[in-house]
Amino acid sequence: MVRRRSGPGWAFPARAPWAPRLALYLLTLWGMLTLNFLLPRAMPGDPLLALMDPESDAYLADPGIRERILQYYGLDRPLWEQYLVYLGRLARGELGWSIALNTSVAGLLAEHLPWTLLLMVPSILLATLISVWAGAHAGWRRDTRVDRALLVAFLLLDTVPIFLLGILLLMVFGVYLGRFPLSGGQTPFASYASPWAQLADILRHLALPMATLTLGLAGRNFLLARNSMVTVLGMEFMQVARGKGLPEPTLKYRHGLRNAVLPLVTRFAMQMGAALTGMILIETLFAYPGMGRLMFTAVAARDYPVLEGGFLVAGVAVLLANALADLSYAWLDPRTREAPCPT
Amino acid sequence: MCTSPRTAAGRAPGGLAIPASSRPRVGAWGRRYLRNRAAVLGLALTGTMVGVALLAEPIAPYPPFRSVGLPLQAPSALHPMGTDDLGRDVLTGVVYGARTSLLVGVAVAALAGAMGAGMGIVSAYRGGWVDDVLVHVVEFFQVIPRFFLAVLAIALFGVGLDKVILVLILTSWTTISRIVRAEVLSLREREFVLAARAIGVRDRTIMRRHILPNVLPSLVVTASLLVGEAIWVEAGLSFLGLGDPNSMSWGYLLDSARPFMRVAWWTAFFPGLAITLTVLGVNLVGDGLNDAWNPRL
Repeated sequence: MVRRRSGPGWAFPARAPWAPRLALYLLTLWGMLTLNFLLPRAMPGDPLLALMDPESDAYLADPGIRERILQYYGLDRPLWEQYLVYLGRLARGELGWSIALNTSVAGLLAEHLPWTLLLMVPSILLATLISVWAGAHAGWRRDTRVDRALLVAFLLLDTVPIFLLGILLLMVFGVYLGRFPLSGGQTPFASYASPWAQLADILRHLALPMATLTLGLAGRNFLLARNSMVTVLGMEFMQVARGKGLPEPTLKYRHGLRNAVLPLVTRFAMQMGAALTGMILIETLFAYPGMGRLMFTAVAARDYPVLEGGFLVAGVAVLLANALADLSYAWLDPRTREAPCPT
Repeated sequence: MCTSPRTAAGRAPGGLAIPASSRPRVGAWGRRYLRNRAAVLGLALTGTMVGVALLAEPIAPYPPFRSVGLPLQAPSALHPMGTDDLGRDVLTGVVYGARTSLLVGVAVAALAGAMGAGMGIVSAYRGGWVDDVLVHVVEFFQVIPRFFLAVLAIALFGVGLDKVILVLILTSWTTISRIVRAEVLSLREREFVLAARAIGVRDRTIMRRHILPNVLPSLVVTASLLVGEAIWVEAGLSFLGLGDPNSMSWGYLLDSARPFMRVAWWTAFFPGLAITLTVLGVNLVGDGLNDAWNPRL
């Protein structure tokens, strides 16, 4: 038996049937909601507290007004009741009211989310494709010059901070070559001759942020794809396939790559976390009108409801990515379908 | 299952023998490590950065945060990395920034490593409900978007290096405990552990003397990868303006360089280079340690 080393690539719990799995997701979601509820309440220097503290300058002398403010924010009720109110609001899709922008948080998120999806989805797909293909190729040509060159290139990509990568691309393609716009999601106040012109404008603005995110993410999975390919190549069925005299491309893609991809599927969810981090930084750098930019302006304005809403959306996105990875894993690897696999 | 029956004669004899094969041999893997060129390069990069961080005062030509020349001067003999928009020496900033970044990286790796190892060993060795709870906690932290949580927490609780470190520890110890747990699950059933248990060695002693030394390699490797990750996140937070305003940091330098990039590339280039080289160095060390201990791949 091959003793499989438990590296970061392997799933931690045995793959369970779907019902407990779903329960686990719900539990995680609940945990996230609770964290979102508790964090602001554990915050020191609550602005409302200052109004209630007789020592502070902002103290409200009129007990009636104090009472009404507490009542308005629900702070006169015990914590568990506030918690129930909070959950009830969420169930109705109310994420609160932005302090700085004076609109509903749900509306703000709905306005910015499409921009972010436009940036993230193609970037993640492209990055995965690039890193898996390059990693598999490097593993296939292990210890050759191609392997070493790819290794160095992707290792560098992985260590360069994503905002620095963005700065570099911005300088080269935006400033010196002047090929792409420096910031924004589309040209402000532009009137377009046709929807196609508008689409072209949006794509031109998308190019640099998307290239940055793609390159930044591509480095992350390369090593895993390479090592996975190397592991697969050492397995007995590869020797059998080779012994049968199968052509090289069949060996590489049908037998090697298809098996090497499996551990990468579990990484998809982690990829999501990295992509969200990159997204905040990149959108800030390029002044791109998505969620990350919204978060950044909310940070500057200490606009807590928006930050909380953003955290929640990000959390749910990662959770969905996890579920997707789980489902596709079961679909890709029939061995995990019947029973929880023995560890 | 885990309670070990104690016979009357079951006192552990002093100087319990760990089988020679399970004891890490320092000389052998040290040689293997040094034969790996990338790992040696990593060690050199990391060593240089640690030296710079420790000796910041004598190395840095000027005091940090102080305006010492004309603003936005290109690199020259006086200012090898130029000056920023406020006339501060960029080299000085990079040198002092090393201190902040490495402090965050090392603190997070050490504390999260200790916490993760403790939790991982105990939960895997004891099993039962402790293990169940831990598995779920780990799963939970696995899906939480760490950077978002850090942004939210820092925005709520105020900026500060201690808070950055705390958030990073709380969100990264689970990575370590997950790997340690998996190792311990297989170690627990090995002959030398069963033998120790059979002669009545206490569980706590087994965990400390027999289990811990054997998970140490994977523990050190995973923790060393955390260093780079932590440096990265700290720089990212500072880049968003959520860093500690009292400590010079590479992310802060990059953030303040942003409006002047078009006219003064050096204000962004050198701090960025410092981050890249440090993270690269630390990761190479981690990979090198992994290869030296685990030469199969």
